[in-house]
Amino acid sequence: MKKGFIFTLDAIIGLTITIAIILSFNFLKTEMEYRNYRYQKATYRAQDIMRVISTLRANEMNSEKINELASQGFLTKDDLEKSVLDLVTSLFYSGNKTLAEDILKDFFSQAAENFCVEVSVLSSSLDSEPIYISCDPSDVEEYAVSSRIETGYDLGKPTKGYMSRAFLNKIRGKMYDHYYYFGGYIGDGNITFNVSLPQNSSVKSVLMEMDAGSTFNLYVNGVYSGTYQPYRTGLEPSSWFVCNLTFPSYCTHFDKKNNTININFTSNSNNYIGGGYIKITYETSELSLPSSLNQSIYYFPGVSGIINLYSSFYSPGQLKFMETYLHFRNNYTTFFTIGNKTLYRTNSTSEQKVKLNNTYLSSQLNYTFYSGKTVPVKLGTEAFQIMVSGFGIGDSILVTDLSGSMKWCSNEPPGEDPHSSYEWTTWVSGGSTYGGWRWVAKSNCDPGYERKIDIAKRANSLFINTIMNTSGNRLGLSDYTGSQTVYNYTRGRWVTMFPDNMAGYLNLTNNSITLHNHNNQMDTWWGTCICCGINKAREMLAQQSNSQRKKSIVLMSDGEANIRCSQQGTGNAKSDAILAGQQACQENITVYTVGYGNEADENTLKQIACNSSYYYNSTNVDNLINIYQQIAEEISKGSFESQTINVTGNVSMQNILYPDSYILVGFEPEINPFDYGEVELTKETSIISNMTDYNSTREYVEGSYYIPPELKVVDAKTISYSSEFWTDKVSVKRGNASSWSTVYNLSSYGEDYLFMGDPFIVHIPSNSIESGAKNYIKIGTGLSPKNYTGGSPYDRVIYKVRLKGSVGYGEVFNNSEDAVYDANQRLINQVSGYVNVSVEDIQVENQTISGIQWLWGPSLLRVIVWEK
Amino acid sequence: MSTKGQVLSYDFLTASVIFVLLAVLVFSFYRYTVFKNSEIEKINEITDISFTLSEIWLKEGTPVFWGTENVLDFGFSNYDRLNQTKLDFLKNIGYDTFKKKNGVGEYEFYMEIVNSSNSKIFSFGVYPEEPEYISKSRRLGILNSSLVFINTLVWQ
Repeated sequence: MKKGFIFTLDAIIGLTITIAIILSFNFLKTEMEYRNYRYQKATYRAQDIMRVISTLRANEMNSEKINELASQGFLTKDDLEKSVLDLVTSLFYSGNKTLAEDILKDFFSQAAENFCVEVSVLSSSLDSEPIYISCDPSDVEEYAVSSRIETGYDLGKPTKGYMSRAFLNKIRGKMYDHYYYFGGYIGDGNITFNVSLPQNSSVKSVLMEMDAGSTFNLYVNGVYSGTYQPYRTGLEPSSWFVCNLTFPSYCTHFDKKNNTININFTSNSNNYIGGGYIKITYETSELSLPSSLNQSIYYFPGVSGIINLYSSFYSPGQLKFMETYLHFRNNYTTFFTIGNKTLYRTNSTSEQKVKLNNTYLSSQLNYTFYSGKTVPVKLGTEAFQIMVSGFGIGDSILVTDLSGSMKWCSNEPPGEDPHSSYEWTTWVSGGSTYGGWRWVAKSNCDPGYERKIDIAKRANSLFINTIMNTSGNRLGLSDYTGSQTVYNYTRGRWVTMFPDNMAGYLNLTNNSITLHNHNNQMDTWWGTCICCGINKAREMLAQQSNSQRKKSIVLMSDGEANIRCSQQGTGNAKSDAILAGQQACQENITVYTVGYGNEADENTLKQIACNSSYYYNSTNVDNLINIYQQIAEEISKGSFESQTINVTGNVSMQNILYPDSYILVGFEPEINPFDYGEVELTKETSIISNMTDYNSTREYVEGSYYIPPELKVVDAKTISYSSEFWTDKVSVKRGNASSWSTVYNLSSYGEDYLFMGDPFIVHIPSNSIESGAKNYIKIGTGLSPKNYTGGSPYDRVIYKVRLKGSVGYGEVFNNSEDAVYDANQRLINQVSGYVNVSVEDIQVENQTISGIQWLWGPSLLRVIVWEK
Repeated sequence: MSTKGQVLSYDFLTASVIFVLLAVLVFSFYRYTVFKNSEIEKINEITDISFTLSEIWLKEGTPVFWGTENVLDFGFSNYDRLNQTKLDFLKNIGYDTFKKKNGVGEYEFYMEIVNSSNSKIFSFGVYPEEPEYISKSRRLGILNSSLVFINTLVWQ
């Protein structure tokens, strides 16, 4: 029993050890496993197959089927250039699934080896459909797939077709506007210029728009072509049709190439054109006109009369070269200015042919500064006996002495006048009747003599006429005397008349009638408060004038100052008068003084004038009137700042500027040459006052215009009617740009416009204009940088454009005829409205296309591989 | 006494026999396992290397058109076609350099390009003569406008 127990225990221990050992075997059995590379190999094979059939061209594949189809002509050369996948897919989609399958069978007989392969396709119009299967896939558990998305195919859609693009070879005709621009001011005399037209052109209409100074006859190639009378002047031009489709007769006067045009004025004055153009519209079949890309030439118009020309030239790119040729004969000094630089001056009266070469010009001018800018040019005649007139900027005050002695006759000695008496008299003023002591006329003056007040009034009248003759000038009146105690009968009490010692005044005005009325009503009174008259004049100028205007005071007195002014406060009437005059001079007022008669205080008046040369003395009537005329002319001359000249006196009009004079500029071109088939056209916007966003201010006119998106602007300019003023600022803004860009600023050449040219056309860089968007423009004219004269409502933008004369490939068609028709129609639609074309004018490039990536699709192509 | 000693003797003998048998069994199994693991490890490793090498023939490398002086990463195809010029560079590069730069390690390799008739077009490397271990990778490619197979053998 006990033994049996021990045995049992051993067996248990042995069994335990045995189990432990067996378990340790399992523990030790951490044997690694072979990785399963079958899937990896299948994946590689699927990827390889997809890559190879996508890359290997059909003609590179060793396929009996392909060779057979090629020999039958079923496969074209283009088909054989396709990849195997491309070919198989196109055959499948075109309904030749069996052929596609056979080709793949050929391929996989070489490439599949130990693998089974399925090639299938899945598209938006098709569920997954196999093209080729090499083995039964029903029991396959593990397979690899390689996919590729293809476009250009779809079931039932053509895999090849025809598409065309078209180019404009020529045009049947287009109406082209050729512009000849006058400068800002061309004068003064008859004008000659030349216009060249293309050989095959046919002139259909001629329009003139200009600010002409007076009526003129037009001659084209020596043939009379009408008389034209301006019906608007200044900033508003007149326009006339010389000929058009309704009245074509004068159009026949134009030759097909060179034309000489004469403008002969019918009167002797205002023989000028203050800006304008002639637009010659002709029909041509030329796509574009030959033009130089790197140089341009500006020909001066010929002038027969007085050479007085304001114009401009333009260098579209970096200015590299300049040459100027001046051909003229002038009986007076001639000068030529570019920008603010006078480059040539001569007083020779013989015929001159002057060439200013590039060496000279480049040493005088900063070419970089002038590059890409409109540059003012002036060719003029220097001063001779020409009285200038034009737009006045003068503000003058006539200060007249209305003291009692002005009642005396002019021939009487100082202190006595038997024709006058100092007596109690009554008069009516302001609805009241007054009584007081005054000098009154007792009898007529001696024959040939007048009372001083009457002479003064005549002189004043002449002065008014002379000053008012220049538009823009203004005149005021200041009538000084002395105060007096008089009796007001109406109110029944004594009152002080003229407590400020002023008998009256008239504010600055340009109304001659008002001035004359006031002058005629002047009467004499009592004392001589010269300082009062000056102070009133100063006050009016300070309040009513401005720093841009030329201010002057003309003071007349026949006696001595005898009333003081607290404003000066020197304690002496004469000293107050002198100080008042000097203060006026310090206020930029030119003070002229005129001592009239033997009693005038010459010494005081000389000191009142700003300069002793501004003091005039007169002892007789004629002399006083001459003095007033002289001062008035001086003021008028001083206030002149415009381009017009009026000829007075004995002036020779036999001066000629010949129209072969020119300015040649060479530049670095910035305009690209024409692309094939591009058509050049000239277009113009509406006048600025008809533009959207039109605004007119003291400084400028402003508007916006739209360029159609199909037009590419290559050159643009604005025209500016400036009359006798200067176009001095043009700014532009393109599309949605936030700020304005200044394209012309005359003040950048200097502040004194008088000696500078004046452009009629100001160029706008083409990159400042956006097609398919609103573009803005501001144009201003002036007499100086701070003296604005607004702008013309007739300004507009004229621009050259290039119209694209080609269309790219369009839709795919089943036959080439449809594709060609489509291309033609697209091109005709694009250019119609601008040029006249027909199908015969169009060159079409027709292409057969297939497998175009964007044609149809997409489709998903799959290669599925599994091991056999 | 003798009976008792005999009993002990039998027990001891039986136990010893069982122990020895088991010890031999355990040792043998251990030896087999270690050997087998080593073999599997090598085969896996050379198979990985053969796959990696097979990819090198079909990729472009860096730069795409590299030369022997500027190669950063080997690749022997361009536009999904084997580039003969690049293959020719292999001779200049040399077997050992190529092996070192492409992680072949202690193994040897042999690459051959054959056409669809199994005729050799190009080869590089050391052909395996009685290899202890060998892995073969077979890829499809295009060389000189023809379908070819690229066999890559890595062996020891």
